[in-house]
Amino acid sequence: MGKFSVILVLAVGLLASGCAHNPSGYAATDNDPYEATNRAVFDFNMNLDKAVMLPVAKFYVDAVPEPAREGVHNFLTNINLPVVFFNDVLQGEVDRAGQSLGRMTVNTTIGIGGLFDVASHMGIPSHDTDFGITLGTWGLGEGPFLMLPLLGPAPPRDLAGKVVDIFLDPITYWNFREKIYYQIGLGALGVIDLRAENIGTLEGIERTSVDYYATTRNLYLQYRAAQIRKGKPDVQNLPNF
Amino acid sequence: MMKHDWAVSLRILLTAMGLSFGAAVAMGPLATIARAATPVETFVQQSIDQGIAILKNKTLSDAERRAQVRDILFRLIDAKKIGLFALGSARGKASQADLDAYVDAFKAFTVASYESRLSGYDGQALKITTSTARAPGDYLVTAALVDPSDPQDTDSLQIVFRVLDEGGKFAVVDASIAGVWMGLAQRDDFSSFLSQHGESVLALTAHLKEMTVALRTPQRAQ
Repeated sequence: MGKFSVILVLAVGLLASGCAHNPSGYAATDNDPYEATNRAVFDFNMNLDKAVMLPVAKFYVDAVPEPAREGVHNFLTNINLPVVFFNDVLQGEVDRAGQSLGRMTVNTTIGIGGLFDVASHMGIPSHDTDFGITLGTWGLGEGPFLMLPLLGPAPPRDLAGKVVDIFLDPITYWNFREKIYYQIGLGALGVIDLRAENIGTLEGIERTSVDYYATTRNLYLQYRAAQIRKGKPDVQNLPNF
Repeated sequence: MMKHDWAVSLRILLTAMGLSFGAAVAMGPLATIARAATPVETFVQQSIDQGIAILKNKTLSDAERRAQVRDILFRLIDAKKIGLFALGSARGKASQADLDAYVDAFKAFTVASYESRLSGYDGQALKITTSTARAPGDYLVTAALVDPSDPQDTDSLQIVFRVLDEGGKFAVVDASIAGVWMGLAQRDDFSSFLSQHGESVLALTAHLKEMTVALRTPQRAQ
């Protein structure tokens, strides 16, 4: 499995690096050779969302008090911090790695297993990163835009990143009884938390988009590029108005 | 385990979509700038302060509030320039009459878009931190979003306004929220529609009018 994953990552990474790099996401339409297929998958995802995910998310919001939902979100964020930490290190971000380690330590202990975000109150800022961002930091292009069933936007670089992140997660190497149920439960909770947090977001984007797919694509690509720049906007390549 | 990168981006974009340059009127009062504000910073600050005053004025009717928001919005942004930019290459292929009709529809759509988000305002403040001139008459004004319930928040969202000096008059033409330029996203959005409709600005204009009506129609409770 290990060898397979390395080969997969290298293959996808090379594919990504061989494709046009679009650091600012200015013309996403130029980097979407599979647009027709992507749009079909996007429609499928949207239909699935409206039929299943949105009702579940709304039920979750209605049934679970806000503090409890916040605790769930904090727990999910905290349990992902080892992956964030390893990627900080791989990106050479010493300060950020320290922040991730600090947040993990504080929130896991004082924050009772990550349920409470004590670290933020102590002034330790949070951030998110992953191996797709690490590859981007190393100079790899994202590759052609891909919209995957259930997973959503995932160009080759980010897809490769998702695979590697599995192997950066210590839980992957921790064997215990009922592990499969734990992982399924965690995955389901993550999806519900994600959807519940963004009910208004997606509704707003959809209502004000002329082409919802195109908007989603552009926002995703621009945001990922910004993550590689550590949140800073691209101010060098701005267009003329 | 499940990654949360897209979740984070969406959460930030929740704010972003509600706070793009026109929606700045929905933000809270600006914190006092400790150093001397530059003219371009003062322009952004005053525009937002005026927007806040409108939102806080409970004596206004909905119609009055809408009119005043529209007024302040168009003093803050150059809607015509933003709208024409969003057309991309289709701009050069359209007649002046079609462009004029499009600009009118774009302005109405812009106002309706922001009006639909004003209800989401829950007291955030905006603190201008710095500004730079990237070229003569082309400024970037940086601000941080501050949650009034947590003013020491270390994760504040960074917003950058791109402001042009148009013959002595400032105008916002784009805004970057967490590194995402809203104008660029809108241009991709519109360009995609245009490419599917034979680059017809008329078709886009008609579509924008339909969307404006939809945005002004109260949503059913779900």
